[in-house]
Amino acid sequence: MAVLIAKWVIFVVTSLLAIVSSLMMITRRNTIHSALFMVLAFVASAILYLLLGCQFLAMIQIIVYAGAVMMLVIFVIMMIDLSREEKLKMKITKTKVAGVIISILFMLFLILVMAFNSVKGKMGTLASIGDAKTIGTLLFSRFLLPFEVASVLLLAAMVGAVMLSKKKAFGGEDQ
Amino acid sequence: MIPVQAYFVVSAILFIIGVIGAITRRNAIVVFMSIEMMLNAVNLTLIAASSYLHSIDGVMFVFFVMTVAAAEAAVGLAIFLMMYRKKDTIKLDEFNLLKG
Repeated sequence: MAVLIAKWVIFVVTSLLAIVSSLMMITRRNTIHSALFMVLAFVASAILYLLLGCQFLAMIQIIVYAGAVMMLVIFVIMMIDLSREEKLKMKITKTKVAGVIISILFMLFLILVMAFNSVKGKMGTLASIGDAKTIGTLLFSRFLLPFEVASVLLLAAMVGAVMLSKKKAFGGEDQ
Repeated sequence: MIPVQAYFVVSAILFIIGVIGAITRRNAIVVFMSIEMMLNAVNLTLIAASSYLHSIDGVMFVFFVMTVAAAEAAVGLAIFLMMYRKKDTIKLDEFNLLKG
């Protein structure tokens, strides 16, 4: 009983943290503040993963998202002069208003549909979905081809990023 | 046991916050971060369903979604740098080259 209450408390607090920090992320004018609230939201999601019993992905989330990706974002923010963008006033257009209203309606429908329906699906047999051993074994047996394709994708992304951010393209033409 | 629907509701809210950020902001980096937030909300849904059904498939899917998101981040931020070099700004209104 006490464990259940503790789980509910952790769940409510981390969900509110994730929601509030993602709201702060899309409303702050200063881009660095946005990025730091993003890190907070990602760490809160990692805690939710832990609560679901998925330790491996929680660690990966913190290392890859809150570590590597946000590091990259903050580096780019520091390389770019954003002072003009940050002075920018919100331009409210009809399409934006319509988009926001439609997305809020979509959220209400999603919540209605998901909150009052049970999840149907084939039940698996695994006792624990979170340990690195199960995931590693599967990655090198059943999911070997996607794993190799993902590594090729990462290589392509790395080459693409280097090519794009080089000062001069081939032939000396300015990019 | 927390019902799986509670996680679904949280991830729906996070996803829609990401959508609203992506359609209302004009700063390219904030739009990029909103898209990452949408991916993160989908990951939360997949992990909740996977944990509820005691099946590993959702977890593997999340693993590959994270790989793709990392690749996308690297290429996307390089594109932002190039956009900045070309036009001296990353305001998204300035980039309508494909408008014809």
